[in-house]
Amino acid sequence: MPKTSSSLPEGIEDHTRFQQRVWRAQRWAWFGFAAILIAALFGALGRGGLLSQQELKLAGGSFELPIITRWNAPDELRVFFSPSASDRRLVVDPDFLTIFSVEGIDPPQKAADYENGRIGYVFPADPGATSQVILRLHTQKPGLHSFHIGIDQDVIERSVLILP
Amino acid sequence: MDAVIRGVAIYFTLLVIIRLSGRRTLAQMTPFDLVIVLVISETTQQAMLGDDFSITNSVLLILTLFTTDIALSYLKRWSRRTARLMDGAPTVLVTNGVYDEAALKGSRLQRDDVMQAARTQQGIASVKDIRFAILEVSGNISIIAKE
Repeated sequence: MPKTSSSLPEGIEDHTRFQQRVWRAQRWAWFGFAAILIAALFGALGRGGLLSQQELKLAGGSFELPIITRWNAPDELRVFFSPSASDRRLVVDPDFLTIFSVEGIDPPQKAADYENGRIGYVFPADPGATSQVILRLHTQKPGLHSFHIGIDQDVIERSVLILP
Repeated sequence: MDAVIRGVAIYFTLLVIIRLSGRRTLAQMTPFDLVIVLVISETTQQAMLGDDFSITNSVLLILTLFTTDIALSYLKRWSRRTARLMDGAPTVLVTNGVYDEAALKGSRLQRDDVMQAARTQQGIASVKDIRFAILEVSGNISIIAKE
């Protein structure tokens, strides 16, 4: 279409090439928006979804713990203790408590103690079935953090990414 | 400290998303668009305040937003290129009674939108009577009639 600078009203310039670049960028951005939403549905941005949780098996049971989560948001750590005749001890290091605040434990622990600089939450034994404990967490600071977690003497290091 | 970071982060995030979503989103406001704006304001409010509802935090946030806005207005004054990048440029939709279909498509507008503006502003009934229809940076469509 004919559109010369001289024919345009005062203050209006012909920015056709710039506009076309912007429109192209916008279309690509819309694909980006869709990609972010799909990633969120898969859990890449935390709080539910396949990618946000990790299942961890240890000798005394297993964990479902967040590996991607969000800052200042609630999350959960599920612990499944294998059947046992003796009390079970969930162990975390102090780093865990600087990354997450433990808002609640369901069912509540029988006792809490310290051993080798790590915190232990003691739960009563159930020789008949797997027992589940849920730690209701609240994330404290964004970034990539490592912490130690385990059951009884079986402690391993894990990382969590807390998005801002 | 985090109030300032939160404020600046949300300001620029919104700026980029709104800019990339296209001007039409905010300009041609339908009732549904109004709902979107209300939801955005509610969501960003929580993201900016976090769990600190103190007056200090609110004042800090307000100052952050105003200061960022003032700083950007100076930046746009100094650099026309930055201004164009951030605010966009006016888009000519009709020249001498002829639609620019590429401009309409790029701006996600329809001929009806132009004619609605023509009728409202100038009482124009046909596109042939339009000399220029310009989608302004503000999102409004300006109509200049043929003499």
